[in-house]
Amino acid sequence: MTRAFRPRSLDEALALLADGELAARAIAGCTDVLASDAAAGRVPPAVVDLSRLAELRDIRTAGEEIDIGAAVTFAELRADRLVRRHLPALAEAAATIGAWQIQNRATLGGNAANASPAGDSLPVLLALGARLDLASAAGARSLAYDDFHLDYRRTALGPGELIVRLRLPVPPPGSVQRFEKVGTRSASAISKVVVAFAARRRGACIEGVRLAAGSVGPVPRRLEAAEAVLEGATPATGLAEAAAAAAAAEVRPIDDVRSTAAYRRWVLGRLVRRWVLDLTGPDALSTD
Amino acid sequence: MASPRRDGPVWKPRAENQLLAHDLPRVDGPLKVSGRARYSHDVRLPGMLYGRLVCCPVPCAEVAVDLAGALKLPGVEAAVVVHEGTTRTVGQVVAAVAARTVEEAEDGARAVRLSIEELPWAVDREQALAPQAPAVTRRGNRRERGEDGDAEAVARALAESHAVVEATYSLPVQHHVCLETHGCVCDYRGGDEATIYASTQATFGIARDAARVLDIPARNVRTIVHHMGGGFGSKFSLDIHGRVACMLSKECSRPVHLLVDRSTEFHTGGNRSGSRQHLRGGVSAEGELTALEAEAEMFGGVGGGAVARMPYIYSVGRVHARRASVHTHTDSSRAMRAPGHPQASFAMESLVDELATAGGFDQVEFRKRNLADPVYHRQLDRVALEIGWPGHPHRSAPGDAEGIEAVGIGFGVSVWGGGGSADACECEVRIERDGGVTSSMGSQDLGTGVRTYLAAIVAEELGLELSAVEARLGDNRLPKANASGGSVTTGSAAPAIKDAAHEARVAFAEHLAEVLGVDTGSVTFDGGVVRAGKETLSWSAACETLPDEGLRARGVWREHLQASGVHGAQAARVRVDLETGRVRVEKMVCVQDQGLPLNRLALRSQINGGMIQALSYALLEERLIDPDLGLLLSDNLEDYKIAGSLEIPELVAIIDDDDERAAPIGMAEAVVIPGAAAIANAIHNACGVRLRHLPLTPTKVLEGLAARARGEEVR
Repeated sequence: MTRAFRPRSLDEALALLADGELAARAIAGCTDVLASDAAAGRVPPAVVDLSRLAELRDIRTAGEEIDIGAAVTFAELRADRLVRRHLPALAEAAATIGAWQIQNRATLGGNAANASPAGDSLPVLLALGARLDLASAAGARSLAYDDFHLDYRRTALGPGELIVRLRLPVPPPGSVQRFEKVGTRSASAISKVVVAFAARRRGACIEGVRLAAGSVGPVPRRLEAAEAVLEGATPATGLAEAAAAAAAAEVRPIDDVRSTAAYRRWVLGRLVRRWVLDLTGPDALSTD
Repeated sequence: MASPRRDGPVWKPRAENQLLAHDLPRVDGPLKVSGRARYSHDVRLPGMLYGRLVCCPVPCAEVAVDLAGALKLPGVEAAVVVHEGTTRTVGQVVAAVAARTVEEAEDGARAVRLSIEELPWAVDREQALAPQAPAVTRRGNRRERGEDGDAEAVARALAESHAVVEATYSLPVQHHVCLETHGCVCDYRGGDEATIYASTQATFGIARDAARVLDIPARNVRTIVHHMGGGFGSKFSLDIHGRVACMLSKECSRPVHLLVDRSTEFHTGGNRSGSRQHLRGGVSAEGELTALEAEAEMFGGVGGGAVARMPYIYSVGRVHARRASVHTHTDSSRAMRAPGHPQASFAMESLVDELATAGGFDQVEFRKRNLADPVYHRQLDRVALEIGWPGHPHRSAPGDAEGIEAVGIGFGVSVWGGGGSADACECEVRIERDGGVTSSMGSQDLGTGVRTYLAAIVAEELGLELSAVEARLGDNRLPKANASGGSVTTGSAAPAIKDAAHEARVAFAEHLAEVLGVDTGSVTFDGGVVRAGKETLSWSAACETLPDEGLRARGVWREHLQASGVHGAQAARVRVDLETGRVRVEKMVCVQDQGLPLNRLALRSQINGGMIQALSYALLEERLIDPDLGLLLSDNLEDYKIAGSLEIPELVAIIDDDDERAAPIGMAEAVVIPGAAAIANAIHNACGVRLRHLPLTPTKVLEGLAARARGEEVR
């Protein structure tokens, strides 16, 4: 039998999660945890429901940041005006995850904490340069999202520690973002490859390049080699191909029931290439 | 009074109908979309228990069952051993448990202890045909199933051919994926009577099997199938799921609800057999198919599998064909919508496409040249026009795969029988004194629209609105009917319904003539009123003249009220993303004949459904078994993908009104046949990549493009 708690404050939740004997797990939308527990025949001794915590439930602007509560659902993200205006890649990812029923329950913080390499919002958080506010009974800290995923399904969260908020910088004018997902079918499909791109044009140059991909290794990751090719570059013959080759070379995809390593590597490269060609415009296309 | 000579029933010319040959929304539609239709899954009875199956977890084993642990658990009311000894598939049912709740039943099933001695097994072709492979059947793992034609004559004709294409085509195992899973609710509470609420295609067929398990007289078993969530050929018998429900119910004399979960459905619900077909075909310089050598292997697991005979539909000078079953330790194949036909169609239509390309012929003209039946010629011309073939740039050679995407068009044709079974169905029409009309036949509506024409044929005959007639079906206490499969239901049921409607009309006319003192011939039924001589009566006034018991008429099957033999042609237009290999089917067109179109809306829906199922087969569906572990990997709808709404292209369903046959014919199987081949052919037409192995995944498209760029041919 599982004991269930529905705390009304963050402190109460953190106290429950700090109780070693209780061995409670934090839950929010439950869209993954319920299904995987049932499939594995696991019965957690206790759960702490985060969905009533006001601190985790809103979206606001704070200075130059969009500050999103960890228990905000994808349906809320998809519909939010701030998110749609400043973080269109996140809005698009939110609208693509699972089906509407899933989006109504699943949360952004849950997607990050669940740490599936195929989590669709995770490359977006990487590409948009998110920071996390974490909290436990022992105190609060801030962590760059780049440093959050350590290994397959393993994160920087300590025992009893929660993601409280996710802070994403408002992109400067002239920025572009894109989200691309390739699944077995157009909706309700786990990604074979998922990619998020962010950059801006300054004169002829591309800068602020951040690329990230999921489903191409044990953790969602930045495509640093491809970024290095593109950062500060001017559109030139072969730039898109060079970035694509760098991206394909730096990932470690696997063969599984959904796709093959070779397909994932190839398609990641093609998505990078197409994005660079679109970003750099007809000049680049004409030199291709 | 002497009865005037009755003319036999005949179908009216199409244009004279008020209801038939029109669009009729299905009469049970509102119940279904509002959730009020009660399926077998929805049945809840007092004291009812939930059953869960215990299945063998390995492909082949010696299994012994110990129920003691399960019987000790709270809520568990019954447990039975279903099978001990040798098992042959993962998922073979060995025991079952019934408990007060689903959760208790699942706990109970987990508590059944199995002693398993795993035996050597073979789950794929390579393992089954390897030397020293464990025998799946007593007659070996490869069984010849027939040979036709003269191999030497074929060899000679191929040698003289202008061009020859030799290729191997393969198709994976496909699941039915019925929305409603297999099973039933067995309501047996002791004594010698029982009621079975089943998800079945054979309302009448399952009673005897249930009676045998329950050890009661078959006549005392009532079967009810009011609403049914799809069968596609997988639900003809009581099946293991139904038999176990009866065993559990018998064990504790309580109703048992046993409808399986999705994983069990994938493991035990049957499938469309996979196949591997090696073809060698020749074409003359004039574009005639000269010869075909065809060798087919059918992968039906412990079952036989199916591939329709070669050459499929096309006329070929010389043919030699052989078929063999290759058995594996996997769930048996079953009938599935046009058994064996999509497999044969995919191989043959692909080969025809390859030969047309080899000879440099227009795909449509080449097909017409090699199809003897002129019906196909007009149908192909029609779909070609509708899909945009006349203005298409790649009609006799594929596109060049330059740029980031490519558009192509492909074709295929289909065939089916669709006639009815003699004397299989009867119908009763009742006209009550209060004006109510019922049309009853025990048959089942799998979602095909039987219920709607059961009412519409009678309403048409009596000049009433469709809503004025109540259709009753899905009950073996109603007049007899056959199982629904092979598209035989329309040809079997519609004649009996028509006959009953006709009998009712004539009898009512005779009655009114006598009551009103007019000539029987002057009595007509139209627009909800009855005209008799110079009088006009409302329907209810006319019915009030009936005696208390109303009027009953019985109809039987009449051969001339059905026909058989349907034809169809389909075309698909695809857009291939040359960078990611993704294939977007943009449009599919089908022209289908079926004699008298009883309900044009239902027919178009049936055509759309066939095209969608074929698209899903072409692009997505594939049963995956781990060859090292022998386990089914795709036992859920995440890993076994079917097409979703975003995959659905523009669908153009055209009822072939040039078919002037007066009687209706079943056609549901035909429309699922050619779509997969049409899509594969369209991909080749778009970018020159010939994909010979379903499903047509992006990976295969990219491999094909890479090979083409290197100037190689992928086999």
